[in-house]
Amino acid sequence: MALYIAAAVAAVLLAVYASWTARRLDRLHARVDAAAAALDEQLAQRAETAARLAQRADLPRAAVTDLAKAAVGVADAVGLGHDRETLENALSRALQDASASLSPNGAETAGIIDVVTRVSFARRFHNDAVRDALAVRRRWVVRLLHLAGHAARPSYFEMDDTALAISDVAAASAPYD
Amino acid sequence: MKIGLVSPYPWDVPGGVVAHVRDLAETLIDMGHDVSVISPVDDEDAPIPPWVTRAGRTVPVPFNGSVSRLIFGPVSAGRVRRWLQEGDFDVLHLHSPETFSLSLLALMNARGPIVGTFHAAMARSRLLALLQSPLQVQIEKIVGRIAVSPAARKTIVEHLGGDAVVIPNGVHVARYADAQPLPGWPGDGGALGFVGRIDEPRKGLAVLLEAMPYLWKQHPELRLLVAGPGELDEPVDERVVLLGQVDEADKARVYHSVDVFVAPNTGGESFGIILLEAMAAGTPIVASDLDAFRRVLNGPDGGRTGVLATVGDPESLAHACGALLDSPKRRESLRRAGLASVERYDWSVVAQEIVRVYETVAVAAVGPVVEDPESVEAPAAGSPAE
Repeated sequence: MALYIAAAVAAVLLAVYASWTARRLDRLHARVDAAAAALDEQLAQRAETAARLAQRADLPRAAVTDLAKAAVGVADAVGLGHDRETLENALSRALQDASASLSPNGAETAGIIDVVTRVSFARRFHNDAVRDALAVRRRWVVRLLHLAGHAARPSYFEMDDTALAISDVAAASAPYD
Repeated sequence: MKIGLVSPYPWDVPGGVVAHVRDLAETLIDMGHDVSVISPVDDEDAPIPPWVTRAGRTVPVPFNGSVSRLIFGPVSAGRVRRWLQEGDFDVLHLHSPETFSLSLLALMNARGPIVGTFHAAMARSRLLALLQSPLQVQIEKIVGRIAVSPAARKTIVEHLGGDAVVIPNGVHVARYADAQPLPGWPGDGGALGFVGRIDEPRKGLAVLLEAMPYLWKQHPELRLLVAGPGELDEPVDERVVLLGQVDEADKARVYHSVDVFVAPNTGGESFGIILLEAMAAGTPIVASDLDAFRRVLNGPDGGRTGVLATVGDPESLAHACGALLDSPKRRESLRRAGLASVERYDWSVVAQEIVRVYETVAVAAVGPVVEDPESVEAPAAGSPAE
């Protein structure tokens, strides 16, 4: 009898813990989805800024061509998979090259720094959410009881989002690294 | 934006984090944002700005070698909940949410676009490691994490297994730049300055006091101006002037009253706000060669905006101070370098960066800050209260 009671208590405790963990995981998945949406939004803003910059006639021809190509590339991208990382990296490089010809104190440079900073924040917050979700997904109770269900396994988004190589700007952001 | 800020420590007890919250709130209000702060206030008669809500008093608890002022209990929890409901914030910004304070209480009761700033740099502590998992459940509700320094970021990575963007502390440059020296200072014999708790060993006043006799050999009239609370065990030389605790306006005047500002700290510094204040006042700096200080003293052009001395070594400190006292030209060049470097730490710049975090997080969270349904269901889950 005592054994049955002990087993029943254990089962109830496990059920409580499992349902609590399931809700925790739900919340983390929701945070990942929202962070992914935010990152997608900031990347889109960056692509728009790049496309506008590519319209400028006074930039070197090669830089403008690269920029326009890269901006079009990311505009068609969907999701945050590995392909997207490659395309966004190409845009990072093109932006960096093009901005080398801009005045470091101009409004355009400030605009680029703004979107680039937002992308780096959004990416940091996204990867942070992914890390938290993966940590909970690794727990035994989640694996044993398949608490993650059909929710896709979140993955990190890796790209080069370091500050632009404009002297003043690079120096000013040095303490942020 | 509608921004809710949570101060972990009492509004009426001077301290770095509270000053940060106050300065940030004032800057955000100047920028046109709708800001509300909730904070513990120990003295019920203490005057507070209209945008601060009282959360109750704190209880002192000894922790980790010093006294933490904690806030617990149903009264504070109720006030936080009401503040959250009435505020309907676009973003909730908690300060030091890893401590058992009002910030954690707010975190337990909220969900949505939540930002947390981590101020402390700590060595790994056993207590924190033990508390890590209940704390983790709450901390993972924070959508955007900010560290005030690389050291604070490292603490987050090591203790909580997360990451953060680094946005430095700010300083109101104009307030410090425009202050006048105290009457009679710096005087003809030269003057050094110190700001910080005088009985906190890590602030290093003892090292500076040991350095003074070396300096008096060459500069017999040299005076030392000390501003900060605390008690000393031994009497000091008459050339050392102890001001005790000063308000912010007088602190700004202290920097202007000396030829060289000295930061002889021996460790435990996450950032080094005093260096920013000295730079904003245009005072040349001699500082301990700590990681946090070295970073703040790196100028935008790669040069140093202050002189570094060996940590805990009075002779090295005396040597660095003496060299600066003897060279008005070097002091002038450091003054200029400091003023140029500190611009990027002005609150207007730093707050702009923090607003970028708010905007990123507000997009990520879809919708305003709401009450966490689980905190109502099961207030005891992972709760350190009582």
